[in-house]
Amino acid sequence: MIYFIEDAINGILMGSIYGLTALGLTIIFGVLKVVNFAHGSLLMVGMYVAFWTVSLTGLHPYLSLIIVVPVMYGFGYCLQAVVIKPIFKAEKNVREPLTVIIVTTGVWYILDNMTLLIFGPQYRSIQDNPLKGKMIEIGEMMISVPKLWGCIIAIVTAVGVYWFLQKTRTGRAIRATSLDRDAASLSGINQYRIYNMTFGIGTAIAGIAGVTLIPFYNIFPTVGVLFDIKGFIIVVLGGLGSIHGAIIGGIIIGLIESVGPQFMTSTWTEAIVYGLFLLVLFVKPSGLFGVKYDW
Amino acid sequence: MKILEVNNLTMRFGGLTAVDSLNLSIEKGEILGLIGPNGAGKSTAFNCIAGVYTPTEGEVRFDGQITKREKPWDLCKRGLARTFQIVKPFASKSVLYNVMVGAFATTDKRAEAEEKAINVLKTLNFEDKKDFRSGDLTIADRKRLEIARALATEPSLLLLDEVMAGLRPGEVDEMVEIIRFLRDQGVTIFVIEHIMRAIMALSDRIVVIHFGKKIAQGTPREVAADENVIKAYLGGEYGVS
Amino acid sequence: MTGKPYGDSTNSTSSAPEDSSLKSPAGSKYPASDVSRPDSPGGSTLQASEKSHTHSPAEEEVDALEKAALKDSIGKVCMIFIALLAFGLPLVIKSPTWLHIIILIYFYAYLTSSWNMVGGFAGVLPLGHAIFIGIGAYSSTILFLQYGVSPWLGMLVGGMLSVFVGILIGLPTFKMRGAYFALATIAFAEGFRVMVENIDYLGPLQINGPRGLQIPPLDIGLVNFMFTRKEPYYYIILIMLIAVLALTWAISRSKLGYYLNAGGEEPEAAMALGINVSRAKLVAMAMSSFLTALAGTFYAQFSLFIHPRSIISLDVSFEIAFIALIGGRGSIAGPVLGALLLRPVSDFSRIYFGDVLPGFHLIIYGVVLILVMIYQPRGIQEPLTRFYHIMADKQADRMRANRLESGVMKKEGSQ
Repeated sequence: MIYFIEDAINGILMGSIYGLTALGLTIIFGVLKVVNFAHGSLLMVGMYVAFWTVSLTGLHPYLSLIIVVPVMYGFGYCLQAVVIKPIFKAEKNVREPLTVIIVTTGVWYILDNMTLLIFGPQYRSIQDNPLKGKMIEIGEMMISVPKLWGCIIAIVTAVGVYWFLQKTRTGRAIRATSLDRDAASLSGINQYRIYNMTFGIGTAIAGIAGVTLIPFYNIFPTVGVLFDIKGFIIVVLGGLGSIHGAIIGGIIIGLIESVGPQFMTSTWTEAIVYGLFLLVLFVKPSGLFGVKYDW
Repeated sequence: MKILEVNNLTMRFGGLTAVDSLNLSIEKGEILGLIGPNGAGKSTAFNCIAGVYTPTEGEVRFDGQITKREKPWDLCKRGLARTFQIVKPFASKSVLYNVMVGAFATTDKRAEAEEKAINVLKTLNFEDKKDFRSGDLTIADRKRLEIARALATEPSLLLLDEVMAGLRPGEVDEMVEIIRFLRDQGVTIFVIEHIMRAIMALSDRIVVIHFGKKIAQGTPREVAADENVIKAYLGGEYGVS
Repeated sequence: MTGKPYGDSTNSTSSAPEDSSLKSPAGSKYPASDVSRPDSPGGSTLQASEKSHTHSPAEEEVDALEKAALKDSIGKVCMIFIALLAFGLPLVIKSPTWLHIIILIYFYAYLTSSWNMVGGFAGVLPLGHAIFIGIGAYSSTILFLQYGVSPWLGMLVGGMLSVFVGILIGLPTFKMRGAYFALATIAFAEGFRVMVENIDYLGPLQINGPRGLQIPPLDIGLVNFMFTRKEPYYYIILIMLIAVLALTWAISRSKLGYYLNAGGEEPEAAMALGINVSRAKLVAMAMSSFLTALAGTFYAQFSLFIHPRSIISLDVSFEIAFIALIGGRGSIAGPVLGALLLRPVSDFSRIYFGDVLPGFHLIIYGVVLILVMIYQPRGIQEPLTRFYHIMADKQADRMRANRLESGVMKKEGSQ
């Protein structure tokens, strides 16, 4: 029983980090109406940026956020402005430009393999890691400290993003664009700038997720693939564009992955995740928490 | 003989009652106009009749048969065609292609469909543009394409949803003539329209709805003189246009 | 524009009170909005008639007809030439490596053409077609290994199974919007892969989980769909490709093709025109999954080894979609052109840079993908078709000029 609770807690913590990855995806999905297949790769880029920041400056891993967030925001902003925007313009009349999906996949291939070319295939982890293997003991249970921090950062980020979208002028402009991009354009909002900013924000959140991962996760060029499909599943599970939905969806997946292996071969948990995903798609396509466009 | 009968039709979306116990009927060969202020429930009523929505209450009889559970494509095959207020051409395809899609409702053979489509285009004086990409057409031509496509399905009843909105006065006159011509060909017409002078000139009878409820019906002259109508709707707008 | 077949002036008299206001100022029946637009793509007939404006209208029509006939025969000659080239290629190219590469080009062109029936005509984006490749490959292989059934028969069994699964997937998913549909198909394919990887035996059938199945190359021959040389495989996949292209061509001209295109572009309008859009999509899905499964059997017999991770992989599903989008979704030539461009790009950059620069081929692949999508969102078939039409037009003009000249000379000679 104690192991069950321990697994469950660790699953919740890891799941909230999954949720954080999905958070960036859900925001991009909600505003641009595009599945960003490059999101896992953006997470990977975020991990590398964090890794090199920590390795070169000797900063505490979490302090690297000061550098990672602006760098990733700029990266995402430029990526959308240079690579993805032209497609939107070319497909102006299409409600859901499916070609953009393909282009983000192209970005995924390029980013992953550029990283492979530059940094090689080896697994890296930060040296002098102040959080390495740290555990809190509660009774007989062992709780991983970096995962706990990851969970806290995830929740703080989600609250922060929610506040930003509700309270700031830019946030309202983003919400307006997500609801009706034509109406938003008519009321003087520059649709493409909003897209750039949203993509930047989504990428920055992927960067934050990358920072929470590096204290306990290996860094390698294809690390993003592990989070890619999982991210989509969480987004659909939680509901398109729903911020708390993303976090809770992440926690559900985390729980299935951590508790599942007590009852079955661990590879079957993957099948269960896909099954759950399809079930939600069929029964409630707006997701578990999806009021349509909930922000 | 009545081609369409709507009895006690009610459509609710959540708490909103878009159409409220509407009754109306259309004689064969008639042009019936449906008017009402914005948001009066005209398009919703059309969508219920065309099978897009299943009405919350009431029934629709088309050609004597209740249309419950019949889908738009079933009704189309039975002879009920419609156009859309916001035109929906198959934009990447040519005008001829668009009309052929409609013509396939009555035939399986390509050559036959093409012949029928060409005939429809000829009657609408539209044949010269058959190879145009429909997405490139002017708004007037797109409206005409909507009609051509619907006509190609060989309907006995044609629902026209604001086919004159956005047209210039000259184009409106032409559209009125087209619609009269179709009636002379034996097609019964049920038309929603905002442009008063057009619908007044066109319709044999007019039904006025307001907040989903019928508030008046009769000949254009009677409706124009009706106090309820003037109060609800025409009072402001009639004088302007 | 003088002809006015509808509305004689007699029936424009009206009972309505506002009759006088209806009459428009004289001569404004066709306002300026009716100017023709020559920029419409596919308006080749328009351009053709514009060029020969020196003739009278009647002559023009005859000219246009004659030219169309000439262009038609030029097209036929081109097709015959390409077919001869394709069938003669193994006589020239003897290297098995080269043949292998070309076979895979055809294989992907075939897969993409099959995908195109749903992904192109029906206007959705399936990203999980590898599931059908897997079903095809596993059905025929299991039947062959355990029951000695000829893979040709197994191929059909796999196809039928695929139809069943395809409809099962299509029924709920065709109601979904674009992105959801794409994700759902991914989930089906990945879920299927995970299941195959986790099952060693399904009742009496040995699936062998993550280890995959190996076909021992014992009985070589046509019946067993097994050859030592590459040429037979080359001809089999070539014929399969030609068949699927012919089928696509027939569909695109049939009622089903019109219905799929209409339903993909504007579902609401399509329904109002008598089209049961979901049913049309299901029919397309059934055909597509059947044909894709056949390719699965081909692949199993070609490589003699199937393995869930390589055959039901997301990479294959994605590559099919890439080829389609780059070649031109919904066009007949698109899948072939896409495969001709993308396959060599990845094969050769892998061969030449694979050792020195690992992953470089995928970077090139990604760059090609993005560039084509930005500059040719309808795929490379569009500029290529336009180029072909210009060349064919020129050729037809030249041939006609020659013919006229000789005709004139004959006339002069007889006088």
